[in-house]
Amino acid sequence: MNERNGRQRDGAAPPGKAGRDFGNRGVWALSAFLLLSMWARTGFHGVPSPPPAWDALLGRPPPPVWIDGAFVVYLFAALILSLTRLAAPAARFAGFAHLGYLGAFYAFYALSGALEEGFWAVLVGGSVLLVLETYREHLRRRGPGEGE
Amino acid sequence: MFRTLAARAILAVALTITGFVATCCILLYATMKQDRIEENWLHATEIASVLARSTRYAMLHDDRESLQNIVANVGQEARVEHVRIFNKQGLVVFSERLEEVGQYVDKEAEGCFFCHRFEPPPSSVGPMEQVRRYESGAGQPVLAVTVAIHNGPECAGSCHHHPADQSVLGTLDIGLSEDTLQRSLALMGGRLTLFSLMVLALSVGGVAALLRLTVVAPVRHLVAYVESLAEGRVPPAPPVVDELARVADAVARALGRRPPPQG
Repeated sequence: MNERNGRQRDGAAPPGKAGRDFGNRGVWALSAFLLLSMWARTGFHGVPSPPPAWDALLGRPPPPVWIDGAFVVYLFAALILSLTRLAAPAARFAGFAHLGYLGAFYAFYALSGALEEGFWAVLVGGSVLLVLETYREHLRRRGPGEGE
Repeated sequence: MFRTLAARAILAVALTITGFVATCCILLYATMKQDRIEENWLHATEIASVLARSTRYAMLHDDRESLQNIVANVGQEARVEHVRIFNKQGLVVFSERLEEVGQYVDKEAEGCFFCHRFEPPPSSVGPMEQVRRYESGAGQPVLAVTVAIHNGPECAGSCHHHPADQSVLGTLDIGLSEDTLQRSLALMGGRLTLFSLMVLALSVGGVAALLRLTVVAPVRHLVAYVESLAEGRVPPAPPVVDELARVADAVARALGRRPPPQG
């Protein structure tokens, strides 16, 4: 009973239909990210420019090179964490959290006027990160004992 | 595919290294490209400033023939797409294309609008605001710089009719082809891609070889050893890696078979 509660707390689920649904979350996160990227490629078409009062309140956007640095640090940390979680089957799925972070990076690049340059970096880095998370979900769904 | 130890061990590491190196290379290329473009902008504004200064003496003496010759000679340079000088009203007074002389430039055009959207227009702007990029009629990328020709005591006090309170007398506009820059960026991108592929091949190959040597091969050896024991065949030499040797020994004892002496 305690073990089952522990698995639920960690976000893990037993194999079977519930497990399949749980594992598909990786695919959902990846699909949502690709849709977000397509929208970002259009320069977030449909989103109005922030009013001047917001500009005055928020100040100047950070220089693109700062966003580049922050993105590299984030991606490095996220990839390392995802790799280490491969060895921990019960670790929670982080794909949707990464979706939020990646969307924030797109937004920062757009506000800095450097989306053209930053887009491909976020797309490639984010895709790899979410594919890794999806792969981890795939392995967890199969269970720790399966393999060679 | 994902069921083998080799795939599980190597795929994730290879994917991670590939993604991180590719992302870093994209960001590095974007930063280097921006640096080169800004450097090119500054270089172009310096060229425009030097040209404006070189015409000053002829302007003070109202030597229009010399001015037209300077403009025409500079315009013959292969990299120079256009060069012209127009007065405060926007009338082209000197140009390397004679058909332009006497025509008015459009103050709503991109190069003019930045200053002329204000009333009165600012008398000086930063170096980056003087620059605009566009494509010529032939589809070539062009970097154009506009430099204001300022009034001075020597101008108002000489033979000129300009009043002393007029801060800007005219504008020099020069367009430089960006072909060289684009070729340089393409070469840099190609070299960076090649370098990234080499780093990727080395790191992914190295990690894969190391994992195969230290993990995959010993485990496969253990599998072959245990299968031989289970099927009653003569097993190969037991694994030498301590943990795997203990597993092999435990399996042999469980199966009631005496493992061959290690040596």
